[in-house]
Amino acid sequence: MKIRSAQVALLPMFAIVATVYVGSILWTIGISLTPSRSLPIYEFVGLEQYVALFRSSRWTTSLVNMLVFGAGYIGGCLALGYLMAIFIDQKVRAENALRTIFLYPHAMSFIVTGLVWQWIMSPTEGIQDFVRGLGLTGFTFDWIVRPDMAMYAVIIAGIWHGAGFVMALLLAGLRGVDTEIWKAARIDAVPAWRMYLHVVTPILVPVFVTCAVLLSTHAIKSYDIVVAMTKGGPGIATEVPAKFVMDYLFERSSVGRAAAAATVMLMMVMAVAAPVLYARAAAAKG
Amino acid sequence: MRFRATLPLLGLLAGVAPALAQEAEVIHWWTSEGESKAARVLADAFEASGGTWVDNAIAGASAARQASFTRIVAGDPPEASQFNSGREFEDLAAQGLLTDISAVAQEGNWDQTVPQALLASAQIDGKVFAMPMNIHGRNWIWFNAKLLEEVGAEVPAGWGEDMFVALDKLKSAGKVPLALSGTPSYELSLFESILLDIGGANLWYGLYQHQAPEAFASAELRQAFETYARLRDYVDVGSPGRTWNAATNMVITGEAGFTSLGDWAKAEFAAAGQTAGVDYGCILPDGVLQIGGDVFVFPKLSDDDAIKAQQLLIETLADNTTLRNFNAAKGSIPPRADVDMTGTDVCAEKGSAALQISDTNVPRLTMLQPSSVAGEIQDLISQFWNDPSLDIETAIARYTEIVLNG
Repeated sequence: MKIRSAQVALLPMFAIVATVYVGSILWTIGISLTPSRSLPIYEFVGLEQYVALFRSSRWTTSLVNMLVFGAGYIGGCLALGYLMAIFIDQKVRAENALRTIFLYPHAMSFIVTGLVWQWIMSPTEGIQDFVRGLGLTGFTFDWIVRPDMAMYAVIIAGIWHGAGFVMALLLAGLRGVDTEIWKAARIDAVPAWRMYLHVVTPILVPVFVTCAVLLSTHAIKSYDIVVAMTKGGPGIATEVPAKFVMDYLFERSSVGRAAAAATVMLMMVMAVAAPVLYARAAAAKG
Repeated sequence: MRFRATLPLLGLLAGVAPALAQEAEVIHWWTSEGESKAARVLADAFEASGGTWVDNAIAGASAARQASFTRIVAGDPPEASQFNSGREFEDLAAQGLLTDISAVAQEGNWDQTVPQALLASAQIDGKVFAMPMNIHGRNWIWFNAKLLEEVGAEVPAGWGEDMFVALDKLKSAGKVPLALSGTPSYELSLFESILLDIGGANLWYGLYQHQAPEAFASAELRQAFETYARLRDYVDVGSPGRTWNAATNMVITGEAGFTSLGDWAKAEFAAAGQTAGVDYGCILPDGVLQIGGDVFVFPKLSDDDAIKAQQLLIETLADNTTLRNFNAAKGSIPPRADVDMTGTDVCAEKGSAALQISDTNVPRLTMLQPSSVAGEIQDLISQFWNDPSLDIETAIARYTEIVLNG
């Protein structure tokens, strides 16, 4: 009886998931096969929207940018976050204050982060202008206005936002490492850096994976930081897939194209998530 | 949304007077200070003729458009919705969701008084579905008259060699020659201004309306791309992402010589206390004005009272006096030649003159092409502007492909 009441209690949740999530996904996939513009038109045109989608250089640029951003952002956050965690783990004074400072950027929305960094990096009013004002007139830091470097400017802002979060998780992980291991290392006179590299890091792999998965969702849905920082520019240099979907859905009244783009994004997420889920399931089975 | 809730309440407080209050809900995006004053003009006119204006102002054109779409498709339409002149409401009309106002157009002689380009974009299959409310000219060049004099530059006629002479003089004087709002829409706008200067209305229609192969292969198109590419050397490093009003401000303060913007820039000059023809000047390249504007569409309704209110609203909005007052408040040009325009400045007069003859005004891109095509053109031009490694041949080939493939 107990089981049945639990099932009844879960029913509404299940219904919501089925209609809102699965239903919307199926509808989106369906719409991507129609010529719909501003309004849904239920007329089958096959993969026409997808063909047009991949003919658009903005879409292909967006995909590449997402991968570049994902790699730089996740890699940067993990590296910097780990360094900060190790630093704090050295029993430094004012640990609480430092931890708060490091974690603080994560409390800000991507919109605020993007705006602030847009000002900092703007060549006419940010760092470049400041340093030149100090007398170093040859100083140049204009990544945000250069099509070839603008994506890296966005990555820097992203790392600033996410590194503290990674630090918090990894610090908890570090504190979880058995102190006996450290004692043993001290007796064997193993230098600290070797301990971190060869012993502690392998122990923390599951934490790293968790961080990477959480950050990758940010990378895939990245929209607000780009809108606030560069609006996709200069040109189309920092366009991302989520922004493509939003623009085609609203600005460009092209529901079909937007749905096709969203479907491709979904497939990419599945392509990344499926092996992870499969590996986890296999591991659980033993 | 707050207005929606409070206005009917105010009506109730006023005494519920006429049992059948002619209530009309209007969705629009005129939310800035000047714009909301203009919207107020319409509301006052409607209330003076006995209706109750239920204001539903939504900030941002795309949000407002989306609200209209959703409400209309869901069967709960407002009495009127604002759109931009163009093909945005085409799908709604095609599905029979909009009221045909051809009778009103006929009565007001729109075929005589409304610029051909604007009327065409309000029509679908010969029926009129949208009411033009105003006209904005989009391809003006604005300049700081004092600064040009200071550096000894002549006022150019457009984007020809004379322009580059002036730009060079500004550059060697250490000024920013061209203040550009480096956003895709204004990068495209600059290109369009050049395109119209070089190719005129002929090339414009050839490319965007007739999609004529010879237009895409023309020397004029190539020249427009070349001139555009040359201008890259005359903007400052702070251009990417700059807003249009910041660009205007650079011309106002004498930091920059020229900028390329629509007539909404005039409000900024006026706010800074500057006078057209004295402190600043305007150039209409080749005398061809690229026009766009706002329209109202009137969704089909089922309720009889609502239909009556909508009819009253249509009559009010079509009234010449209402239009004149509205455009005076908004700073735009009335969409009809029979609306008196005396007492405006030199630039507005130039613009009005260009509207009188159909050869000297063309509809904006989104009035001729679906927004997805217009958007792709915008992406390409913006990419071309920002990435000098994209050569002209490739750019023209992709441009052609985008327009021809639709």
